[in-house]
Amino acid sequence: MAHSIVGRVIDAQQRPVPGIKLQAIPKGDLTGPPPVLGEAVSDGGGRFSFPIEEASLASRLAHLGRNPPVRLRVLDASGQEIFTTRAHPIDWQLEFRIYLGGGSKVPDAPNLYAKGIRRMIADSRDAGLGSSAIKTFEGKDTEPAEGGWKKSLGVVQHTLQGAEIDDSADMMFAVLDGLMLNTVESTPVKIMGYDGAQVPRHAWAAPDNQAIIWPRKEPFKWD
Amino acid sequence: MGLIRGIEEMPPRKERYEVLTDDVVETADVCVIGSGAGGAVAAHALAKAGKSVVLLERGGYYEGRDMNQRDMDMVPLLWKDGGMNFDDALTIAIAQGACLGGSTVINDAVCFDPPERVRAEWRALGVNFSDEEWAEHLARVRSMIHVGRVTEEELNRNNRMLRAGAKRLGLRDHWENERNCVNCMQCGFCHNGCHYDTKQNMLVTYLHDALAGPGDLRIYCSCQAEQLLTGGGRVEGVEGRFLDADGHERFRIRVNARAVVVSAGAIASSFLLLRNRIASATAGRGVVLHPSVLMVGLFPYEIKPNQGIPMAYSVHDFGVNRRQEISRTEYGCADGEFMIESIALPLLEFSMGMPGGPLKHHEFLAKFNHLAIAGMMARDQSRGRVSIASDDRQSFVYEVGPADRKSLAKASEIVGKMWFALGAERLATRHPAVPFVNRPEDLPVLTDAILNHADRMKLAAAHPQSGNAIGADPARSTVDGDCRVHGLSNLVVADASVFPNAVGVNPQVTVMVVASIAAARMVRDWDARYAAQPVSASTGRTGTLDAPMHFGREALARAIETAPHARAISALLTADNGTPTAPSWSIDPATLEITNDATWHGFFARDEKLPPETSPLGAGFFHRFHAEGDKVQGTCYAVGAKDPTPIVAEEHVAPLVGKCLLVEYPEAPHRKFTEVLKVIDDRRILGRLFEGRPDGGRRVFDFVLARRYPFEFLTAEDHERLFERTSAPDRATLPGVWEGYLAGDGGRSAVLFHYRYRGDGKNLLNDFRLGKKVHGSAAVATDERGTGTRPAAIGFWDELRAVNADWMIGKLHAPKDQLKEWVPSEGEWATHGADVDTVRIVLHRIADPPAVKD
Repeated sequence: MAHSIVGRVIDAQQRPVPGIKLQAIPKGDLTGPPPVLGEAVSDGGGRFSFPIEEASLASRLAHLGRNPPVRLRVLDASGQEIFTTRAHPIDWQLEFRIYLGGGSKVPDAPNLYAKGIRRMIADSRDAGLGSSAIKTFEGKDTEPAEGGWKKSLGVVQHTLQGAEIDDSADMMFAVLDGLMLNTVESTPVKIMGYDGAQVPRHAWAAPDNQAIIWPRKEPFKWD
Repeated sequence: MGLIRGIEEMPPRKERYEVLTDDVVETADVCVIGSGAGGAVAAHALAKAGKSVVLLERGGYYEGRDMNQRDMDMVPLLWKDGGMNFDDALTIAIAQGACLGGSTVINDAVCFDPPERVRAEWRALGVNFSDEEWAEHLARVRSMIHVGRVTEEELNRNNRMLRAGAKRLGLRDHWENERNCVNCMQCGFCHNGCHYDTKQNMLVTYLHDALAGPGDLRIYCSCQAEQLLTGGGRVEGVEGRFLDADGHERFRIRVNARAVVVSAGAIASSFLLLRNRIASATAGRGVVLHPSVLMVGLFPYEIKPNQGIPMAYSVHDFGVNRRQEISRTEYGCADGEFMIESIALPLLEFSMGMPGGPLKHHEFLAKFNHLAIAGMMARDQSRGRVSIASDDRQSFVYEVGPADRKSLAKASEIVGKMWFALGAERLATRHPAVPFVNRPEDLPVLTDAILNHADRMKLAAAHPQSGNAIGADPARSTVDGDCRVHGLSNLVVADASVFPNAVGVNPQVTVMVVASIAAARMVRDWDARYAAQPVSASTGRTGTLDAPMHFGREALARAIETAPHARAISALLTADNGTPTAPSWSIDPATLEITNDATWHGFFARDEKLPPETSPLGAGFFHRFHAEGDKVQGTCYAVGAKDPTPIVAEEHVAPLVGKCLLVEYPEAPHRKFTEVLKVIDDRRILGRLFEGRPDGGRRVFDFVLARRYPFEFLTAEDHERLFERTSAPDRATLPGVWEGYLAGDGGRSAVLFHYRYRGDGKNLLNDFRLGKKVHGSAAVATDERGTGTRPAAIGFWDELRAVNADWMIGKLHAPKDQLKEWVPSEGEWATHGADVDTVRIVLHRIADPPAVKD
């Protein structure tokens, strides 16, 4: 089966960028300069498309036993490398959308997401949600017994490592939300094959490259 | 050049941004509340017309690079109530933006022109916009937000599934959407904000253009507008608070303007009007939502619905943009209108909307890449209502009526048929009673469940509209043809709340056009109607040298160090040489400002956390001064202390503070303390308490002394005097919602209780709510104990006095030690008798009867 790579390049002002050279290279080649598996130059609309022949992948396929991961090297008109994308296993079709507007790293940029969970809780309490749960805890006449919900929170806290804990229901919600975040960001999503976020979590601290990679395992039935 | 100000440190911003360090008092031609599709357009038009504009936005200022495509990070930052925004019954999740740019930041960028059919309906309902106005402003809006048609290559597989399904069913009116997105990167995370700034939301279009000038636009983020101050048939100012991520007040703002534009969205605008007792009989009534459901098909081939533009194709055969009636007739839909749109949600958002037990849920989500998803949106005939609950919370009640159930059932059936026609193995619905449909023959089970048990459906809505409808009759509408609130000469509402009914398509363009027309009419009428409006000089409840009792801690500290000490030591002397007499106390009946020339009343900064060693000073204090030969001496009355403490004042120069007065406490146990005072004028003093001497001692806290102060700071002594001078309220004037707090010498408590009076003068009931634990309903009695509530089962009783139409004071008595249960830190507030404890209460009317939830 032939593989293809398609995509588009735009700049920071959302304009298509013609004349950008895109080269598909394999990931993790330690024996020397990586071979170019295929290449193309973006057209007037910033679009590019090129095939990758099965033959060029054959040895890697035999070695890995699965489709080898490839990256896209992005070069300007003078041949200067702008960046290389992260890798993704080659597929029937890989679609790369390249954004040349990532910006530079700002190491000391405030982390806007650090308080996100607490903000959600404050807002939901403003809206009157969760008040019954909060009441349940506030209404307790005595200290919770050893081994009660406080201990459970301790276990959860240990899981999250280092989160500050207190007796409030706010903290409990924060911990649970943190667990959900952990869960969502980890294994189950990967098992589902869902292609999630395409950018670094904190783009100011780690701008990396700006590329969306959409793999297509099979042709669309209705095309 | 414009400016954005907020309370949070941010990464580098594209617009000029400043972090606030203090309360704000602003004067402008126009104050706009809300920065979404309505507010941003109105602010832009007014600023470009040369008006100075102050814009208040509840949410924060986030740009593309901040938007990291992760639901768990972005929903709390960008969505109202962190995404947990529901009607009262928690049956409809309402998606709204709460960030600079409003819902335009988190929507799917779908653009529909105001439909011809709807414009004709609205004309009949009193909307007087001419065809020329519609056309001119629509063209402006389309140009500003770069509306363009989705191209064939931008249609992802999920969108193509809807197109293929519509063709299979022989539908006729379906096409690619128009969107306000330039060269979309097609990442599919529109609901989490556009990381690449290709979505042409309000921030990157109207607000960016207005901030670039010419014009004067100042934007305040994280600012919740709360009070519209009215008087004389006009709004004279807006007051609000800057709230941090935890919902705590950081700073306050007062905006004095010639005109005010409310554009906070259909629900928030309605609540703001009602909470300020504006249009109480009409505001918030008739809110529509476009209630929506999803229909998900599971297919044996790959779709990957999240890859690409989520909402790029729609079916209009049954909606307001239909070009023919054949489909409606064929499918029996002639009595309702609805639209079918492709939709794909990020995984977490999607999973939260799907019913089914955990195992089934997981099994279905594991096949996410094989799902096709479409949304069905009813042009609702049901009407919701925004009102004020008896505990002062916003209430929103909405019930899906029979006609809309029928629309949703029919729409679900049609999309179900589409998916089965394309080979779906099964369907997932949002009805818990029928979470899955395995065969086409089972579709009637689903439609039956929707028709008969719609209250169990998981509905979503993203388009709250109407509630403050345009109309000529003030008894039936909130705003006139120019979107100006009936009865108020300078208050305009410019958002979806002025729609007379549901627009039937994604409404952002219509909102922008309506706001553009409303703003253009303001500019047109400026000289005749607005230019001559007086601009108040009030600083409201912000901390200023004029009203230092409102200062926050940091601002008070700065003021003490920078304000000039402007009076001689003799200015300290209190009336009657320090011996209080009745004539030295008065209250201004117009402003309710209290004057007490016999006493300097002590105030702490509004966010002061008092150190324990200052007790009992922490409960409040007074200073009185008299001349003793050539010396000024006095007494400090610390509330709770048995005896007053002598103090002596003299001229001094202190480090940091400069020229000031030094106050010493010559007697134990207070001997270790000293104060420095700066006398601002005859009624205001700023002070700092030290443990030790000012040069080298430890600063304990800063304070204010005043002989004239606002009513909200009335002391126990003031309360007693006023209680004696006033009489019981007229029972007939009581109905409505009142919020209550406790008055004491250390300041006022937070709002701790609510009374809702209902009925008439004869049969009057009070639905009371004390703290978080006690609530109930009891008759209001007038007997030998005065007028008040007497719930026998609970045991408290109160006696009330009317201060004016909107303020009452009173005493609330409860059996011994019972108040400890109800009122936090009651020791500061209560007086204790042999069998009964008493607190002094202050009640402020916050809602009129028509605005209150039934």
